[in-house]
Parts: sequence; structure tokens; C-alpha cells
Amino acid sequence: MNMPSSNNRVRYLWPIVFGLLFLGLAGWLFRIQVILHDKYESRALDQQTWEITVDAKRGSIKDVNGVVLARSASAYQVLMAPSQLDSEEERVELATFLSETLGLSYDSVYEKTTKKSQYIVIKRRIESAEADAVVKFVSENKKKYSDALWVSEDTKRYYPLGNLLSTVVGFVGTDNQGLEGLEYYYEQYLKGTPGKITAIRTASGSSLPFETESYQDAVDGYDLYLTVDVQMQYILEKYISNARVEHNVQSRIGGVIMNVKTGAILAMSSKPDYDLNAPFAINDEMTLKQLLKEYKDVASPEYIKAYNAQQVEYRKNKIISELYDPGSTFKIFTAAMALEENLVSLTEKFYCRNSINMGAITYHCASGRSHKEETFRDAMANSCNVAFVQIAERIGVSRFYDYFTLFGFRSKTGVGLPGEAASIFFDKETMSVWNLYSASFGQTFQITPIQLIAGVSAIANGGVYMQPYILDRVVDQNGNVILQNEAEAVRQIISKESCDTLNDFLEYTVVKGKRGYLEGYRICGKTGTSQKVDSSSAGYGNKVVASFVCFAPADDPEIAILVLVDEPNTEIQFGSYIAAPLGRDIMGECLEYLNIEPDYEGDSSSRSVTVPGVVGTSADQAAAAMEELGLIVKIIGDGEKIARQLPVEKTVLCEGNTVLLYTDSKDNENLNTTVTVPYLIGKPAAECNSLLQQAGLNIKVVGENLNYATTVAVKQSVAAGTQVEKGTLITVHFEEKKQ
Amino acid sequence: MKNDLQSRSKRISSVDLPFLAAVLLLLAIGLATLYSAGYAKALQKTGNSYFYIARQGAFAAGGLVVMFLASWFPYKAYRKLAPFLYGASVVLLGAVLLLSNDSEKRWLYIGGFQFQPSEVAKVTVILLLALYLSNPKLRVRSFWRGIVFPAVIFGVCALLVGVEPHLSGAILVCCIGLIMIISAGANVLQMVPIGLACVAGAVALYFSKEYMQQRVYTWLHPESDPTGAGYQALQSLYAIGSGGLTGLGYGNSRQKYLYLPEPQNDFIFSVFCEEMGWIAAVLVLCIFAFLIIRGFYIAAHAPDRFSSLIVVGIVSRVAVQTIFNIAVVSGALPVTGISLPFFSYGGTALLVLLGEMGIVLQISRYATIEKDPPLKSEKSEKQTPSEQEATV
Repeated sequence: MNMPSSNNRVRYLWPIVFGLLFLGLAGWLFRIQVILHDKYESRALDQQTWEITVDAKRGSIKDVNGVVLARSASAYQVLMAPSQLDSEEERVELATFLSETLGLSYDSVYEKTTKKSQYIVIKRRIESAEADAVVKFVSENKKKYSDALWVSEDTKRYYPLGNLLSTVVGFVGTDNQGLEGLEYYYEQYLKGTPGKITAIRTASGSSLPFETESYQDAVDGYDLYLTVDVQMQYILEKYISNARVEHNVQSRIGGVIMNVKTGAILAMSSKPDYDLNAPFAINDEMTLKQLLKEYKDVASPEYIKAYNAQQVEYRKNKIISELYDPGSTFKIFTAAMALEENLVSLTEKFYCRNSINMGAITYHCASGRSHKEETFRDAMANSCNVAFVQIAERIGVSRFYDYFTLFGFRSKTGVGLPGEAASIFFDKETMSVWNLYSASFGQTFQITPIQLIAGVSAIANGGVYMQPYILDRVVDQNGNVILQNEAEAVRQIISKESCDTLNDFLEYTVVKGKRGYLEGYRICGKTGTSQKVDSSSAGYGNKVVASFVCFAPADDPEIAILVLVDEPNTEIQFGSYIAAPLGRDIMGECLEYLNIEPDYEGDSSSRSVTVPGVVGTSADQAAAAMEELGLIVKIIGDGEKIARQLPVEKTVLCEGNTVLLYTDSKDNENLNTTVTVPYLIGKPAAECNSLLQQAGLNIKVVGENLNYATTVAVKQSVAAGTQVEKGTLITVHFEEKKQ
Repeated sequence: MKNDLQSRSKRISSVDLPFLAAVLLLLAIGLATLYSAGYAKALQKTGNSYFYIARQGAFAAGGLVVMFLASWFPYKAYRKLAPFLYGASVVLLGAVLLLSNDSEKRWLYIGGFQFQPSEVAKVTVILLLALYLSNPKLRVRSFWRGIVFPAVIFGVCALLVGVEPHLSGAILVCCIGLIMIISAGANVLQMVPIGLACVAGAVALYFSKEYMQQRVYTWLHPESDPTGAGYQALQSLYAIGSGGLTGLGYGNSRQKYLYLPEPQNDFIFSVFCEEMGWIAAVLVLCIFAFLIIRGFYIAAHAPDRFSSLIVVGIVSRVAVQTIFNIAVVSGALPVTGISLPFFSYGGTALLVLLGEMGIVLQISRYATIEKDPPLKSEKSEKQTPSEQEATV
């Protein structure tokens, strides 16, 4: 009988076998459900959870008066859920439509339609016209694509003023993150906090029947209010753009305006710059013409390489991130040190024979002329290197170094902009006296323009160094002030008395130098012409930076202006010729804008002068004779004797007008001296002055109760378009602007 | 002998209550799970979220009637019916192969009513095998009569099911058949060469067919192709793994929302694990194990060899199918379509299953369970062969 065996199988074998198998299953499930729980749960949640980011609106950037420089506005984006597409025809149809409507490549869109995803961005920041076309397409196709394609809100960054203040403001990238300038530097304030919607969804994307969504509201970014005043920025940019063309500037031209009492930056620019709405393109015609002339073909690799190199360069803020030798403008600080330390008496006389030997090195005056006997004040007005070398000797290396540090030239200003360059100066221990002598007139070391204007502002401000700043306040979307920058006095560097003396020096310098002089205003200033270090030879080359730093009004300075013209390409490259008139014009219009009234009382500008005959005399003598009468001299050519003068002998000019003296050098033969008279009617005095000067003509201002702010030219003695000799006096009548 | 029968028919009124309780408990849990698990899928497919539960509920009600009737229908009648039922199911299996236009030929449509012949075939195989193996003249230790001939009986059905193709169904039929042959007392040693041959065949199949290797690879590494071949296995693991010890709560499965491919059918246990957790899953396993062990207990105390083998077949089917299903959804075996008894959605399957439970209950009426000591039961079994002889 085989029953027992079979019965035992039924009774014991199978229950044990199956029991063990069930036990095994329980263990296996334990492994998956309990031991590997975290792993599987997180993966399940990964696929089930939809996290939708709600972009925060980026804050605006505004000027001090609330004029918008950068803002974010609503735009649209096209999104797709390719997993909702069922067939190849649908994918092809969608890819075709989208690539045509949105200007994308068909292949890239088609590839997105094949992804097994619920959420793919097709294109961001589109305008409403494109968005409407997509919405229309979806509705026309009934419900075929309603789950697969939709349009949602997006934001786009607009820069309504284009090029204005572009190197300062900067721009954002594709994901609205700041890439350069203030947009980059204050990202934390501007960006805001994105909100989140977290939801658990079915595999087809609809919500679950029970509550699984959680919301976290987006916090919009804060608005930045700058200290910059768009009106003054506009004035600055207008003048330096014109000057750039006029002087055929090979590198760049820059300017900065600072409130000397607070350290607030009122305007800052370097040209050429770029349009913030198209940050990777050059929109400067002069550059584009030059590039085309040089490389012919816009598609050539050389052209593209040069183009790209230029556009990167044009995005830099020259005032902050580029170093230069300040040149003679630095004499202000050398003089300040000497005055504060009582090293020079105001009556002491220096004697200049054009050069001075200081042991190993002989120093020359840049003008090439001997200044002879001169006081400290004259030495400043003459920009006499010989005198300043002697003054520097009295200051000594150690004191010079300490004052240099106190004026802030060895540390970054911390103005609140990215990419501020660090200055290059000597080590205190190794700095030689010859280093000192060169440094006394602003050569052999390099600083940034922002450092220079901050130092000059300290002198204008009675010796108190103010912390430079460009961000006035940060305000949230409800108007609450998050951050308010206040004027901050950092330290008193030199005494008020020393400053007053120095201001007198600088005002005298402007008056004597003429080209920085502005009728009705008392301007203090100093020009500089510094040689640029030649990158190929590492020594000083022929290229120069012409600069002018000034502040006004002299009795109670409000603003300081620095302009620097990097590599002017004209016959005369001196700062006094190129930068001083530029700074003066900007100053004039800014003071006008600031409602600082001009004072014509005691003004001697209308005094007539009869031009003496100087043909045949030496250049030095001729210049001295003209300057004696209050005329400005422009010597053309490097000959010994004067061959020709414009205007000719016995012409009646006004004090402050310019006489052109042509030397007997060969270059001056067959020189074209006729110019076209510009159109002046309706223009303010500063502009008329500037226009005539550019043309090489002289101005006589006529008018009663001249108020700089409100008068315009109504009549000119020679009609616009007439060909006249250079130096001709044009009488311009000014009257109150009719409202 | 007649007295014996009569004395037994006096206690005929009582079916095995523990077994019945296990069946009803599993059915209740199964329906509750189906309601939750099938909800989203029903809504998506039919627009009516109660679609599955309503139909399954109706089939469960019908199934309970079938179970009740089967528990009264004298099992001895199956001796005569078995060959005809078997023949009929072979015909149906053939018919489904010829008539069905589906890629997987599993369903027969008769006047708006559809059913799966393979579900019916399993029962008829069990009945015919039980009949064959309970023949007292059978030399069960003979290689040919004890192993090969009965193997032909289930082999024919397995083959027909296998070419539908319904590989897991065929494997299930084979497993049931093997368990019955072994239970009948076949010489296990003689089966070793067959087993080796099967292993060799499987290995050959594995190396000859690339899709087999692919399938095994995705089973072992479902992460390698999460959106393709590994999708089902991975989604199921996510569901089970999300459950933890105590689960997300009834109705709170997230994986059932169209992530799991068949939340109402093959992967219903994954949803149960996700919602109820490991402890509840083990409780369900315990109920299944109890049902199965109790079933074998009934088989061991069955009145005769024929009925014993019927119970062995039916219980093995529940056991094998349950273990296969849970092993598949938990990634212990490669993904293959096999449903979970009492849980998975499917009308035919539930009707047949409850019918089978009815047969077990019918036989339990005659089993000498509570009162009889083991010796007595053996004695009673000794008597049955002669009885069988008389009837065959």
C-alpha cells in the first residue's frame, strides 16, 4: 500500500512547502516595504510629485527720482507635455507649427515632442502676438492638443533707456539672473523668492481626488533706487559721445560726476557702450564702420573675432574697472600734502628752467617751456613738474605714502559695483625717491577713475573723504525701505584751511588755463595728460590719456566731474585742449540743471582785446604776448618762429578767445584754414561756445541780464554755413528762452 | 458500508467552517481592495469609477451561489462527469485558438457573454487527474502510468493554454498537475531526469531567444529601462515600497493613479501593500496560508482518494497562483500575467474559484476532521478504494 507515503505528502509535505514559501514572501516583502522603503518611496514621490515654480517678479532699477532703468514686465512662455501626444502625426504637426510660429529649428522642437515628459519649456519670453497664435492653434484643433500644449505667464526684462548708464546697470541672462553690473551685484535684492506649488499627480497629469497641493507664495524682488540722476547722466553721455567723435578717440572715453558733500555718484559713463536690450551686439556706428573697413567681410572669422573682442570690452565700466596713470591731475594731492604739512609758503618762489636734475634722473616740464620764477599757485596753474618734484622731495616717501593711503588710492572704494580694479602702487619699503618724484605728477602708478574722483571730492568737501556710493535705497513692493544708504564721512584727511588754499589754486588754474573756464561760474580744476604704458614695450609710449577733473562752485562745491579721453587721435592731445572744454561744458549744463545760478558780476569776458601782430617772433614770445592780454594760444606745428596768425593783427577779440599761431614748420604749408560757421540759434551759451570752439572760431556773447539757465542764442553775426577763416569772431546774441 | 455512508451523511450538514471563514474573509478583503485599487483605472477607461467593483460584486454574489450549490452537489458525480468536462474544456481551448481574433487568444464570446476557457480547464484537469490517479489498479510508482500518462492529461491542456499564448497559465496547470502526481505517490526519483530535461530546455530557451535574456535582465535590473521593459516591475516596487510598515491608508494609494499598469488585476496586491502596509500584507498572507494548510488538512482527511486528490488540486492551484502573483508583483519573479485569487478583477476566474471552494466544502462535509483520530481516517480512506471500484 502506498497510501501512507502519499498521505504524508498531502498532510505534511505541501503544508510545509507552501508554508515556507509564504514565509519567504513575507520576508521578501519586508525587505521591499520596510528596509528599502525610503528608496522606493522617494522614487515614487519623484514621479508623482509635480513641483511648479512660480517665478518671483524681479525688482526694478530706478534713478534717484524713480525714472525706470530696468524693469520686468509680463511676457509669455510656451510649454508642452509631450507624453500627452499619441501619434507621430501629432508630433510632426506640433513641431512644424511651433518651429514656424516661434522661429525655432524644427529638429530641436521635434526632439522635445518625443520626450516622455509632462513639462518641457518650448520658448520663453515671447510677446503676446506669438502667445496668441499658439492659443489660437490649440483652440482650432479642438481638444486634440489642449493637454499637450499651453501658454503660461513669464517675465521679460526691459531696459527702456537702452544705452543710457548701460555699463553700470548691467543685464540679466536667460533665466533672469543678473550677469553684469548692478543686475549682477544686487541679485539678492532684485531676484525675489520664487514661489512653489507642490502637487501629487496621476501618471496622466491630473490632480488626485484628495488634497495634495501645497502653496508657497512668491515674494517679488525689491526695487533699487540709485543715486544716479538720469538727467545728469544724459548730459554726461551727450558730451562725451560728441567728444569721442570729435577727437577720434581710439580707446574709450569716460566720465563720472559725484556729489562732493555726500559721495553719491550722480552720473557715470564710458563710451562706446552697448544697448542693454541687446547686450551682445555692438550698436556703435563708429566701431562698426571701422571693423568693416579693416576686415571687409562681416562673415570672416577675423571680423567675428574682432567684433566679439570689442563687444566684451564695451561692456566694461571704465570708471570702475580700468586703471590709468592720473598724470597732472594728481598734482592736486601732492599740493594738498605740502599745504597740510606747511612745507611750502605761499610766497615762496620756485624757479623752472624746464628741467631739473635729481641725481640719477632729470625731470622735464611737459609744456617744453620754462616757467621761470613762480609761486606755488603758479606752479599748479603751470602744471610745473620741476616745482612739484622739489615739493615732493620735501614731503618724502613715507609721508607721501601715508597720504596716498589716506586719500583712498590703495584700497578699492567699495562704491557698490562689481569688477572694481585694485590700484597699482609701490611698497612703502621699496619706494625710491625717484618713484616719489614721478608719482608727484601722477606717473608710474595706476589708479581707477573712481578713486581719483573720490579723492578730489574729499578736497572739495573740506578734506573729509566721503564714502562713494551708487545705491541710494532698496524698497520692497509695498514701499517699505529695506536698506537706505546714508552719506558716510570716512575721515578728515587734510584741514579745511588747506583745502581752501588749494581750491584757490585750482580756481586760479582754471581761470589761467582758460579752456576749463566757464563764464559766470567759479570752477576749480586741473587737467592731466598721462602717457599710457605701451603693452608691447612695457614702457611709456606715445598714446595718452587726456583728463580733466573739476568741481564747482568754488565757494561751496557741490559736484565734482572727471572726464578722461583715452587715446585721442588729433593733432593736439593735451588734457587742457581736449578734456578741459569737455569737463567745462558738462559742468555748465549740470550746474544749470542743479539750478545753481551763474554770477556775471565782475565778469570781464566781454572786455575787448586787440590782437597784436606776432608773425616772425619766437613761439614762446608770441604765446607770452597773447596770454598777457588774456587770450588763449594754440600753437600749431613744431617750428621755431611764427609764420602766420589767425585772426590777423589788429582784429578785435574778447578776452578768453583763442588765437591760432602757425609756426614755420613744413607741415603748416598749404594748411586749410577755412571752416564752416555752425548753426547756433536756439542753443544755450555753453553749447554755442563748444560748437564754435570745435570749429576753431571765437565767440562774443551779447545780451542783457544773462541767466545761464534760461537764455538761448537768438542771433549770430555770421550766418550758419558761411566759410570763414579760423579764429574769426562770431558775435552771438542771447535772450531769455520764450516759454 | 451503507451504514457508514449514512452515519456520515448525518454529519453532512456541516461544511468545514474554518475553511469557509477563510474563503469569505479573503473574498471580503479582496473586494474592498478592488474597490480602492480599480477606482482610478475604471474612471479612466469607462468614465464610471464603480465599473470594476460593481461587476466584481455581482460575480462575487453569483460565485457565492455557485459555491453554495457546489457544496451540496455530491462530489462522486464528478467521477462520471470528469471525462466529459475535460473533453469539453479541450474543445473550448481549441475553439478559443481558432475563433479569437485577439493577439492573446484567451477569451471566448458567447452571446455578449465572455469567459476564459483556461479558467474552466484548470478545474477539469484537476477532476480528470484525480479520477485517473485514484484508480486503485494504478501502479503509481510506475514511470509510465504514474508519471507520463497523467502528465499527458494536464500536458494537453497546458499546451493549448501555452499557445494562446498564456505562458503563466500553462505553468500553473503544470504545477497543479505535478503536485497531484506527487501527492498520489509517484516515484519522485523517476521525475529527476524529467526535471533535469526541463531545466536543460529552459537554459537552451534562455540562450537561444534574445527576448528571454532581455526579460530576465529587466527582471534583475528593472532600473535599467524604467520607462520601457522595466516599467511595470518598477512601478509595482514603488507602490509596495511606499507602503512601509503601516501603509498610506485605505484609498490613499498614489501608484494606482495610472502609474501601475493593472492596479485592478495582476498588480492589485501592490496597491494593497501601498495602502495597508507590510503588517496587513502579512496578515493576508497568513489567511491565504491558513486556507491552504486547512485545505491540505481537509484533503488528508477526505473520505476517499478521489476527493482527496480533488482537494489537493484545488488548494494547490490557489497556493501556486497566490505565490506566483505575489512573487511577480514584488519583483522576486519576472513579470508574467498571473492574477491573485479572491483579489484580482475577473468574472470567470472568480466564479470558477468560488465553485472550486464549493467543491472543497462539499468534500469537507465527508472528511473525518474533528472527531476522528488519524487512525480512523486512514481506515475510512482504506474503505474508499473498494467503493470506487464499484462505481467506476
